[in-house]
Amino acid sequence: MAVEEILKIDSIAKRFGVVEALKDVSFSINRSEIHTILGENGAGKSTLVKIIKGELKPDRGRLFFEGKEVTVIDPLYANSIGITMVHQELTIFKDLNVGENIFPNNIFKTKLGLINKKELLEQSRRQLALFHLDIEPSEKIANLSVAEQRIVEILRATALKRKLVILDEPTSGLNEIDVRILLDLIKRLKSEGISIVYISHRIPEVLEISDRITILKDGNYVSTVEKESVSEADLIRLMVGREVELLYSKKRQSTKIVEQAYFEVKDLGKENFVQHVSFELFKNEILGIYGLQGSGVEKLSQILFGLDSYDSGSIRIEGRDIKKHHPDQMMQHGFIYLSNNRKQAGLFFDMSSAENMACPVLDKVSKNKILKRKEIRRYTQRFVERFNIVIPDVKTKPKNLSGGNQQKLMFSICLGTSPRCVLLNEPTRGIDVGAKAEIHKFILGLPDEETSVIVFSSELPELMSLCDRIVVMKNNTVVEELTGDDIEEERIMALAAGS
Amino acid sequence: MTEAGSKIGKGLRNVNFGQYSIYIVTVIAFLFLSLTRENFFRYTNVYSLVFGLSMEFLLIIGITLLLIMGEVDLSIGSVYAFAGVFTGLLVYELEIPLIVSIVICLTVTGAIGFVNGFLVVRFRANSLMITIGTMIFFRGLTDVLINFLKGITYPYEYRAIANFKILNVNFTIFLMFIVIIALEYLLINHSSFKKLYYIGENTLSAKLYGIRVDRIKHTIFIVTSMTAGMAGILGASRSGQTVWNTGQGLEFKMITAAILGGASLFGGKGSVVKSLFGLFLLTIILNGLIMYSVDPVWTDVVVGTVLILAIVFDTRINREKLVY
Repeated sequence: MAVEEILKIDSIAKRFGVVEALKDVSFSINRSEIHTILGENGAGKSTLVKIIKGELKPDRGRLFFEGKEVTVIDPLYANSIGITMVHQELTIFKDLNVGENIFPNNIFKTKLGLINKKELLEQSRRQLALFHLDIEPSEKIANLSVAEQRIVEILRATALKRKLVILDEPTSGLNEIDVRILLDLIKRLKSEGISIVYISHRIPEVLEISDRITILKDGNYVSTVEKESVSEADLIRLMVGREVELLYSKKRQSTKIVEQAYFEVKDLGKENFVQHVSFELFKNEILGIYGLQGSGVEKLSQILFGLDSYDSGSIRIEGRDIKKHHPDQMMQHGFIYLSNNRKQAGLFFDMSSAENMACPVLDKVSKNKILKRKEIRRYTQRFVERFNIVIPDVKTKPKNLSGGNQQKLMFSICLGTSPRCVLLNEPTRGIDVGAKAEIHKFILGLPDEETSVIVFSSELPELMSLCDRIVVMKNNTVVEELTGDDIEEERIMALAAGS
Repeated sequence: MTEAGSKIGKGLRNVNFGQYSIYIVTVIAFLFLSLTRENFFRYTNVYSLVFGLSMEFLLIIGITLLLIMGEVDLSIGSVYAFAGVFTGLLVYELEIPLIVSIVICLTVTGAIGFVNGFLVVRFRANSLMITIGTMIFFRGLTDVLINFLKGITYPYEYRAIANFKILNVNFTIFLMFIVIIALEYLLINHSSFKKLYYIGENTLSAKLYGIRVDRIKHTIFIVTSMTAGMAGILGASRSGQTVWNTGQGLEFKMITAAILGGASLFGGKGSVVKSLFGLFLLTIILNGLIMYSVDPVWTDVVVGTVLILAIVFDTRINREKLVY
């Protein structure tokens, strides 16, 4: 079959104020191929995608869809010619059922104009069967796993004979097994003749699934490569423009660990969420806690910091039972929690970065309870420099920062409290390789500052490269604890996913 | 354009007009009325406007603090009415000494705030809904009390509170300026008051960083009810008798004023000085209507229009710039 272009991007340029987001980018996407657009945060991926989707008007350049120039800049128009997008954030209607989520536009009507439920469910069932999915269309969407919800979203985008679907980080926040299910679905979409524009930071995944990969850097088109012709290292080099060391290198054993329990969790339980969880954290240790979605890891992280209550068991810090168990009490014991979802919690998007930094340390940056503005600026500036946060001014609001810099700011807010123990929940979610490597370096440096660390991550390679010890969870409880050479990817996966 | 010219242009663009709009609009309205109506800019008129403001300023405080946290209390108008009549009942009917009556009344209004706050914090109830409930409940209870008391005139000492003067100026005017300025200073600079803004901007983040959101919200609900109670006692003292429908619609007037002053129903924003300016603006607009001999039945039409315009302008000015 001859290769046929479905979308041609011709010298597209877009500028926001002084920032040139895209500079004469040209390439094309073929029919029924999976085409990944790769680049660091700020490389211009999202701008390009918005232009394809009709949400933004380019300053220069043209788009051709199926050979015809696209002249109408409008998302609804893009939709009507067969271009759709699935956003990184879930946009499900959580009170509706699966079928209604696949076809939210009420296209199946009875003669009276009412919703034809039978037809709706029948069509939904057909869609689900197409991809061999064992989901009942009348099921409430809230009862589905995150992965299944995401699949429903993708079906919504593809069900109406779409030709080009843009998937923005569809696997973010999913565990290994769900990622597999999703990637299989995407391959099947491709075999159905749908073209896919894929956006992801996860390079192994990109290499597995893509036919071709286009790399953008600082708004420039770098190149488009065939999957077969490149390695992971090549891609990182093209994307970052420099060699990135340390990505997932095996960690050297930390010498700082004091083998004395700093933080002990004994027989912790909360009905329906976690049961009989016990482990201890040594001083200056980096402990990883790994489990698939639904294994109770996320709930456990919240319970440990007092964001949720527990019904049984005990939590001890340096041998003392913790009775009152709220975030502010945990902070008094030197604990701090890095949120796994910076869009939801962890930042104040509409306040200045300096105000963000001051939040957990209000008493430290004030005298007789009166805030010292200069001190707050200085304090913020210090962390901006220490963590290489790219920011015009400490007054800049986080909403105007890139994802990587937002994550680094959130990290700074936490570390500003001079914690003795940090709970890091997905510390590098949704950020580019450069920022990721930097954050990994900061984490590895924490034991040198007498800080113990617990990392909760769904990225196994990340945990393996950071942690001295890994606790594996399955079915709401701890199944195994691994150290040293026992930390092996296959072994952990077998423990977490095995029967 | 010259280098200097472009710099000025750039500088002007960086000034956030939205931030000062309430001051600008109030000054314009004030000047307009002063220039077009000769009776407006007279000592007696301006003084009576300011005095009226000083009777109501306590109400704007609670509403502003709550709006900063993204909460609201619609019961303040009813609590205002209830407090006035309830104190009257204690003093007139039960012949309890005035000062004791006031303490009892403030304790009771504090308890109302406690219940409002408890329901909002403990049951995660929507404060708009919950306080509609308390609003109706206390409106009803006030009517019961008035029905029982009939149209009485309060004892002299009760009526004298609002008229207490220092240097021939009503003390409430001094009180207003001192409290509002002190509170504004604290809101901007005090580490505990700053927490209200964090809570309003993102409650979850605030919790994550050790702010005791529930305790603070609960406290402010109590403060709001108690200040509404104080205002109610002052208001009843000024009118001197039981009046049907006292304080009706006051809650919406206060919300309108706070929104004019830049507060948002979504939380994270607000200033008591600006809210007071918002209230002053509303006051002079209403005064202006009288000066222009507009039939009072039009009052609500005007207030409604002002609120709608304020919200439209607010969203236009504060609309997020395209974020790249």
